[in-house]
Amino acid sequence: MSLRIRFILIVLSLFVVFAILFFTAHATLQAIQNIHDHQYQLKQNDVQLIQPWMTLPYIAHIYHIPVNILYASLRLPDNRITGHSTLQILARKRKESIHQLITCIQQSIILYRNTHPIQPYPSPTIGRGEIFYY
Amino acid sequence: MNALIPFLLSWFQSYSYPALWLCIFIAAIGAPLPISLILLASGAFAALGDFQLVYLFITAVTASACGDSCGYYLGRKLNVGAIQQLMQKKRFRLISPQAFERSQKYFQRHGAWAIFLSRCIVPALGGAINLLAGIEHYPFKRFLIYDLAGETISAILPLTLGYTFGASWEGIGDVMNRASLLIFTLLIGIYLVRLLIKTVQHLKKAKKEEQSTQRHIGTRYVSEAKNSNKLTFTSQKGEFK
Repeated sequence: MSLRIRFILIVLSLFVVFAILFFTAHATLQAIQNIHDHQYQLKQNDVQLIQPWMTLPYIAHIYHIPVNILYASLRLPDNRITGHSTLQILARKRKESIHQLITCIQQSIILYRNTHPIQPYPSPTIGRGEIFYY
Repeated sequence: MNALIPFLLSWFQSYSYPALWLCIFIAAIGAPLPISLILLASGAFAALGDFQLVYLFITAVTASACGDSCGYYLGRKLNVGAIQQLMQKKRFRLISPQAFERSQKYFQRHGAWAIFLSRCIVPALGGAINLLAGIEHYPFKRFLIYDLAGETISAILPLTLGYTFGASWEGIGDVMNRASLLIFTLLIGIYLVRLLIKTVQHLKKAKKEEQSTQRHIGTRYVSEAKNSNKLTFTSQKGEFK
């Protein structure tokens, strides 16, 4: 291969590589933004984030609710096997669709949250934790 | 998301570390299992308190090192002579024997980088690199050192990220895939720029050589012409005389 043809081929491949680099960098930034949004939704206790890979104790952990509420809503026993099964496996065992199961869990979380709203942090005191006696 | 993940995670939840070890081991031999995603999810479950990060790390590194070593020995068992004979036959020839030999030499020189980078940046190439290292009879001790170094990074990163970001591990998996593609493309870009610089240098050298030969031919032509002129001049002189 002559040097000139080699030069042209390298320049062309560099153009292709730069184009791929641009698109991949854009996609990476977008994925980072998605994580940020996801974390924000989690902080807001958005029940739409429940996924088929989650287990009942995991859902209870991220939504800050007692796990027995979830077991009770699905009429499941609180044992090791149920606790370690993902929602997909539970749905298969119960012979219902994963969407039905997730909807049921979402409803029970919302119901619990309505009766037990999250207490906002208390406003800071002037004396930064000192006790005042009146 | 990969459809296998809920089943693999359920299996992992039920049978704990041995299940994870087996999954990683099978994937390290070459099976297409989404191991980095499973490690991210394990990190997330560790944040809940189901598993210990240190045990997860030990499980991941030992399983992948064992799987990679199996791949290496499989490659070693393959007969290189048979492959070379196959290369000689035109019917089966995908690459020339010269290129095959060059690639062998190249692997002996830069194999360490290939082993290390295929663990942490392009895990999809891991199985093929293990086989190749075995076929090339790459020293096993060196293979194991670079393999362990790469696998340590490839285990620590998803486990800690999964632990930190919890339920967002799927998004983290997405970022990791894209970032690895980005780094891989960047490496190709750097290689191409180096190649371009070398080619430009060669072009300049070739041009200079061409110019010098032209000048040489020119001076020779001029001197020859001068000589011939001298002759004609002398002859003319002679004639004149």
